[in-house]
This record gives sequence, C-alpha cells and structure tokens, in this order.
Amino acid sequence: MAIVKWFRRFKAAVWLTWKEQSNWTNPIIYALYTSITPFFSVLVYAYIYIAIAFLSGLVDLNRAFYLVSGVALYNFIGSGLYGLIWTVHSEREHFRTLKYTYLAFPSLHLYLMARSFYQFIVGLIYTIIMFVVGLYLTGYPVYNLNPDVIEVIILIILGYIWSSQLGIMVAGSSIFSSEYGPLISEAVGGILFLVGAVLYPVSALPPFIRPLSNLFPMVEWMELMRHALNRNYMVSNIGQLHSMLLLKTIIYVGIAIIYFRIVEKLTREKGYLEATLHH
Amino acid sequence: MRRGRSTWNRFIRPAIGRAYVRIKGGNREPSWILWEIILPMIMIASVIWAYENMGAPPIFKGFVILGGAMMSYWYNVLWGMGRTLYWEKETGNLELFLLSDSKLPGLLLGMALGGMFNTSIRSLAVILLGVYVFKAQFILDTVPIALLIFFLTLVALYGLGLGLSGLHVVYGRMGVRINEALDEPIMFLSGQYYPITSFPLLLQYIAGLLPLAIGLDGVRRALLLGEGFNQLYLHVIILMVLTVVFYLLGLRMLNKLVEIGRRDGRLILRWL
Repeated sequence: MAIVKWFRRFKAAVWLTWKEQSNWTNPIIYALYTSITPFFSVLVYAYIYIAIAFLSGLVDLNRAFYLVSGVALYNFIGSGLYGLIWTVHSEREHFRTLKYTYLAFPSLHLYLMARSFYQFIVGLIYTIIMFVVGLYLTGYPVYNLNPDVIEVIILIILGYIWSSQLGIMVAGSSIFSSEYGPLISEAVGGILFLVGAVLYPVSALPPFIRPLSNLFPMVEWMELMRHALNRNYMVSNIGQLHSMLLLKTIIYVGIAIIYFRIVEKLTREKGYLEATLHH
Repeated sequence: MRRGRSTWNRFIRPAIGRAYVRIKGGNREPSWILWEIILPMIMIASVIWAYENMGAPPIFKGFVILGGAMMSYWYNVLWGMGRTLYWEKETGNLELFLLSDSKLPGLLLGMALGGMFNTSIRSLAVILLGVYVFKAQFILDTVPIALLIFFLTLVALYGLGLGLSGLHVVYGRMGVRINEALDEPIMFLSGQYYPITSFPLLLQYIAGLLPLAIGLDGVRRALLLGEGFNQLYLHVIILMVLTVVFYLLGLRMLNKLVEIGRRDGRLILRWL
C-alpha cells in the first residue's frame, strides 16, 4: 500500500507541474509551443557546424554527430535540472506556496523529484526533436545509426536518477539564498555544458579545467548515450565508463539523501521556507 | 513652454527616475555583476572551444564574443522592459504608475536605459575577458561606425520593446511564455554564434527585419573585418527605418494593449 501512496503523491505533483507549466492551456497548443524552443535551439548549434562547413569547407560528419547529439542530450539533463531548482525559487519567491507545500506534502525531497519528473519528460521530447532535426540539417545519414534501444532506455533512467539528485543538492543549497538561487542553477547547468562533453570532448578543454569533468557523471553518460544511439560511434573502455557511471550515480543518490535531510532541518530551524526577497 | 514642461514631467522625469532604480538595483550587490559576467562567459567559452575543436579560423572567436555580448541586450533591454513591467504589476506598483500623470513609454524608456547601462558594464567586461583569455582580435579604427550601428540597434530595440511590453502587462504569465518561446528563434536568426551570411537568402531577408541581427552583423563587420561607413551605410539606413517603424508600431501596440487591459480589468490582475 505504501508504494500506491507514493505513486499517488508523485502523480499529483507531476500533474500540478503540468498544469502550472502549460498555464492551463490546450494540450495541442502547448505541444506546439514546447516544440519551438528545441527546434530553434538545435538550429543555433547546428549552424555552428554549418557555418564552418559553409565558410571554410571543413566537412566532418562525425563531428556533426558529436555536436548535435551533445546538444540534444544536454537538453534532457538541463531541462530537468533547471526545472527542479527553479521549483524552489518560483514556489518561494513568485507564488509563495513553498511553506504550504511543505505542510501539505509528506516529503519535500519526493515533491521536488516529482516536480522535476515532468521537466525531464519535456527535456526528453526536446532531445528527440533536436536529435532528429539536427542530424537532418547537418546531413548526417540517420539510417546509419543502429541504436541499442534497451541501452538507451537504461541510460535515460540512469541520467534521470543522477541529474535529479544533483538537482536536489543544488535546490537544497538554493533554499539558503533567495538572491543566488537562480544564479546557482544557471551556473551548475553552465558548468555541465562546459565540461560535460557536450560540444567537444574533454581533451579539447584547457588542462586546468579537465579535472572538473570528473566531478560529474555527465561525460560517462554522454559518451555511453552516443554509443548506444549510434554503434558506429566508438568509445574506449566501455566497461570502465559503465562502472564509473553506476558508481557516481550511487554516490550522488547517497549524498543527495543525506545532504537534503540536513538542509531540511536547517531550513525549518532558520525559517527559510518563507524567506523571500520580494522582487 | 507649458507643453515642453509637461513632456519633461510626464516623460523624461519618470524615465530618469526608473532608470535610476534599475541601475541602483542592478548594481547594489557587486557579486551579482560578477555572476552576470561569468555565466555568459561559460557559454561563450563553450562555443569558442567547440569552434577550435572543429578547426575553425580564429576570427570565429570574435564572432562568438560579440554575439554573446550583444545578445544580452535582447534579454536585458527588450524583454527586460516587459519583465520589469510584469513584476511591477505583480508587486502592485503598476497601478500606481497608471494612476499617476506619468507616460508609460517614459517609464519603459527608463527601464530600457537602466537595462542598457547595466548590460553595457557586463558586456564590456565580457569583451575584455574575451580579448584577454581567448586572444580575440578586434579592429579599433572602425569603432565609431560600430558605435553608431550599436546605438541605432538599441534605439530600435526600445521601439520593439514598447509593443512587446504590453503583452506582459495584459497577458501576465502568457506574456512571459511568449517571451521564452521567442528567445531561441531570435538567437538563431540574429546569428548569435555565426555570421548570418551563412543563411539561405530567404532567411537572411527575415533576419533583416530584426534590429539585433542587422546590428550584430554591422558591428561584427566593422570590428572584425574592418569595414567602414562606405560598406555599412545600408546597415545604418535599415536600422534607422526599423527604429521609426518599430517605435510607431510599438507605441500603437502598447496603447492598444493597455486599452484592452483597462477594458477587461487585467491591469491589476496578479498571478495570472
């Protein structure tokens, strides 16, 4: 019965997010609206490749795949992460409902996870649109992909787990600061974009920044996702990448649970649930 | 004489007053400025390293830095006006403004000027960091024409922002959503990270309707390719035309939307 209750709570928070995000609009209009952003977003990055091909004549389809898949996959992680962290900010600052949520919902950790789940789903839709449109634009032969569907699904679930736990930690930190909450969320998203093998491999980074990429499971996840989507994309030490991804995910879950419990306790003690900046 | 004083009191004074608040508010915490420089730099660095990884010529570094620096004006000036107005509505200040004798375009001018000042500090820092960290090179002989194009771009953005701000006042959160939906198409059409000459011709014509795309292209041509007034006079003319057209259309749209807001009782409606 406990699991039924758990799912009922989870579903309620997901439904609330859907209503709030779609602003109670027609689902078809909302679907069209949400497809604008990924469509143009991938155009922005695909044109980085196209501009070089157009102006310098440098054509390399493997690089096109790397860039398009990186940007598309980043949206899955980024959308969920931003959505999760932004929940704290919007509920406390804009709508001033965080304290009521805290009173009504049995677990703030679960509530944030559920609120972010919707964002991850939207992020996944973004990813699919961007991947298909991006590959088409850059002229990559889509029929060559040969994806391993089971591995893709497993990796998506793992991606949701580690990035939502990263989001929980960052959201927890943002409770302590009304001023810096949104900035922290953008900074974490930006750092993942910078060091997460999104537009280029880690080896393209200056040596002093490279160690930063080891803090996150992003590089392993990106590389494995690329390989799962396209068997022609070769990765070295695939076994090591799998174990590192799994290990880092477990560590993230453990730290997030402990950290958020401490944060929750301090938040109640200091009254931060209703501390607003009053925009 | 009376008309002149009236314009001063109803248009310029609210503009100065609102610009002061935005400048003071935006810079009262030095660490915010630092964050607002670092965050765009992260994205700029990512794209520069992506270009380097693909073996692009060094001139692309300048393209990316100028694109990143100028795109901030779209968010902070144009949408900054609308978003600030939305928050004024949410916090209850908008009704006070509307009850006073001040002109709404004056108030919006103040928001735009404040946004321009704040963004300029950050953008200048981004460019200087770009020069220092990424060794981007700019041609300084053509700075005057670049500044003229830049100035005209900002004036045209103000005109466009007038009309779009009305969406925030009347439609509240829906206005915010429209704003968000337009961000990516504008980034793409303005050529944030690449020259718009790499677009097909039809897309170049569409981009030509956006002041930011014309302005960014002009500034890039001046500072990166060393083109002067003789090569860039068309940019200047287009921007001047866009300035007049957007100002007139923007003003009309704002007045119409405020009228709708008054009629439907939406001007004091919050949380929607």
